[in-house]
Amino acid sequence: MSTALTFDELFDPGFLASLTHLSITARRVAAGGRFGEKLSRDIGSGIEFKDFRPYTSGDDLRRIDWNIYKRLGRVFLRLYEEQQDLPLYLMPDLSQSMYEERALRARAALKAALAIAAISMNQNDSAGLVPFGEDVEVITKGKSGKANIMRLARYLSGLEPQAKTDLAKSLDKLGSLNLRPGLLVIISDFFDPAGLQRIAATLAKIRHRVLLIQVTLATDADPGLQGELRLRDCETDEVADIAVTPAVLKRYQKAYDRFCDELAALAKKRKAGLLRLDAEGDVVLQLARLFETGSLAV
Amino acid sequence: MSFANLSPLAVAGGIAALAAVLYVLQRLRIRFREQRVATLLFWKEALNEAPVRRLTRDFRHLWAYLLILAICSLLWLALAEPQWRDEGGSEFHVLLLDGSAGMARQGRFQSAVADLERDLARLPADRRQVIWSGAGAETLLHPGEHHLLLQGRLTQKMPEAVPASITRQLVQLASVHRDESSVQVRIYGDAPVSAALLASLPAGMSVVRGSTDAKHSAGNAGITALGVAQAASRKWGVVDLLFRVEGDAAQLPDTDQIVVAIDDRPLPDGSVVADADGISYRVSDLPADGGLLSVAIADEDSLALDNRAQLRLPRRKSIRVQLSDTLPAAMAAVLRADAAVELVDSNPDVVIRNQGEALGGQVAALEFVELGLQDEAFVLGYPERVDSANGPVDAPALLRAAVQRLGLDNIDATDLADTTQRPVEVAMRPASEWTISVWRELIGDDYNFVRTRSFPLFVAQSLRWLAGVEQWYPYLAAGHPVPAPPVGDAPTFVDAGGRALDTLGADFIPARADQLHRLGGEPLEVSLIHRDTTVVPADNALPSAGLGAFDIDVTRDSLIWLPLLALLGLLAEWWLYRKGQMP
Repeated sequence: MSTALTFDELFDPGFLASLTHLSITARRVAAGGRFGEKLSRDIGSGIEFKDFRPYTSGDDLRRIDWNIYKRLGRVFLRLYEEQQDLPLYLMPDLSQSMYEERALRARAALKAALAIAAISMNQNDSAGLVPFGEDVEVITKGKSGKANIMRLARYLSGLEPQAKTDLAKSLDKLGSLNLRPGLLVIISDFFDPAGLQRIAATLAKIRHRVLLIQVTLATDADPGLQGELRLRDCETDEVADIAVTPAVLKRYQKAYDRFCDELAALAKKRKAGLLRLDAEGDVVLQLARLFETGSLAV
Repeated sequence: MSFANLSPLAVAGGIAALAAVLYVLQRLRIRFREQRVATLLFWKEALNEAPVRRLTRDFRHLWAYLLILAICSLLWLALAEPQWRDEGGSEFHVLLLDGSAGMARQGRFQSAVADLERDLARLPADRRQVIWSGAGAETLLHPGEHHLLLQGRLTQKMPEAVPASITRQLVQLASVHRDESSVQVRIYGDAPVSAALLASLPAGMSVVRGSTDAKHSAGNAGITALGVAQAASRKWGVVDLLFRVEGDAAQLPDTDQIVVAIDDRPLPDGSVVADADGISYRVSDLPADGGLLSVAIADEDSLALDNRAQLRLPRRKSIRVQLSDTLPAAMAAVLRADAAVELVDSNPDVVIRNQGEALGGQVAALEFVELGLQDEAFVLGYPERVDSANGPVDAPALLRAAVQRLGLDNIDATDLADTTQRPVEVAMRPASEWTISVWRELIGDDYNFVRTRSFPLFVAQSLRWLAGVEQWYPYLAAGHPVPAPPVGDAPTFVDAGGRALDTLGADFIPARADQLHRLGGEPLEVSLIHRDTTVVPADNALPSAGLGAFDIDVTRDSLIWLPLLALLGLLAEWWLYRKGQMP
């Protein structure tokens, strides 16, 4: 069983400094709005005119359009669209697969979670932390403001690895928490033994907008293995004996490509964003590049 | 198809064993290297298409198995060395390598060996055999053995100073292969084969000369006959030497080039006299004292082995005879006429007396006895000590030999019986000394035996038998039958090692140039080489022939292309493996 990463292992000063740059980049891209900008379904105190409706008892008298009353003799209320903040729910994957290969995936996932949280919090959106493995665990439902960024970082560094991946179960549980709709960012390798189809079925029930961040390693596509091997799954401890030949490798790569395609299709169907994050690359740089190109839209 | 190194059964069995071993190896559980991975999701999919080998699982990689089996089988076949022959090559080949003295000529043996090895490589291993034909026969290469083995076995082989034994080998091969439909005997050497012998071979047996022809008598002359005879001077203690030198006329020696020596002491110049025929030579009055006589040609020629011959001279010392005065005067006259006899008054070798006389004492005796005192006309006595020295005496054999030697079988017994009115018989009895007891009446006036021409012969032979004078053959000629012995059974020749020599073939002369031979137990010893070694026989009818139509697929090819095919198979396997189509 892998152990948790320390704060220093995860968030070195260089990374924390680069978050500022990432926040500026994100703000420049989101001029006229925030990262979590969203027109609320509620019609109330906004500044954008939406519609009129007849006055009913109890309505705010300040919203009566007296010009219409003067012309028509009837009382109507002016309705405006209300702009609200978008709660951010971060779901980093803490299963064993994330901690394999020097925990490269886990580092990248947690860094990405903090980076996105930093952008959101810089725009006064709230960010909650609900990591998952076999199950989901609500660490914090929503914190906003720059002051909470470091607190969130502390939370992230204190997360313990879990044994297995069960994203569907975790999503089910998340749904049952009845959280305010927001942006759900799932950061995982998505190596769920239950398969993507079950995940898709569960995701369909989630009311949140979804951003999927697939943390990848180069060895995912090309494991570089050869010979007669007994492969042991780090999460399930299941073994498989296999003679790894070029042909088997080719079939493996096909299976992996198919998996990636299915994940992309799932995202598309769910109208979710999909970000593929190379765990061995610079996380901030990869996120900044996405903001600069405007390819990150949820 | 045949195989040079393995039997077809062994080849098939080997391939079957390979198939079984490879099958088991393909199915054996292998030792895995454990590898921890993030997920098995994708490996499982790949695994469904290429499951790992397991002992109990279905045999999935049939083509891989067949390919590796083919590679191993090719290597196994290369080891077995398959050979193909054409339709005309179904006969068995016996390759005879001549190792006789004639092959000692410069380069001839090496040339014959080279020819043999050349042909050997082209013959199917299971249908050829190589036999050494020297002093004896020896199989150098059995059917099925690899031809490269021959080189090692030939390293100790050199031509021997023996006459050619090819003729003998052919007779034996004809007997061995009598029932085979097609046998070709290929002779590598210069040994002659007569047309008569070829005609006597079985129909399915052909004989050709495999080596290149050579005028093997060119530049050579050698001693082909050697012997001694009664001296023309009629002296007892000496003999005349006769020998013959034949061969290339240009090489025939002059008399001064011929060295005759007794016990390594050369005879004086002029001792050797050439006969009119130019090839026969004589030396008169050599002392018959048992010396070792050698004749050598001083001139160098192409074959040295026949330039020297040896002969053990007979021992012919005088027989000291003491004669009783009571015997008729004719007896004394006969003795005086015999050059071998020396009449003495004391210390005789043999005494001639009437029975009962004490003359001469206990020595061998020719005694005359009254008819009434002896039933048999002739009684031969042999000393008892012979019994103890040589074991039981074969009296009938001794008697038979004595009767022949004494000429008793030629006496007119019927006339003698009529005269004496008694049956004439010969008997042999133990006695204190060698004795011959004869009815006195035979030398009496009533019977005319003393007046016949056989009387001196009887007396002379009796004295020689009693004195133990050795017999000897007067003459031996290489390439001619051994003369029949004067008396007794046919001779048995033995070589210096005491082995009986095979006298198969009428012209056999059991001689080595470097060894003397004994004839039975007799002192005759002679060394000669075969005449055919020296002189080309007139009826050497053996044709020379290359393998020609009997060409066999070159054996070496299979040693090249089978491993090459195996290498190609390995490359194909590697290629398939790289392409992912080979587990």
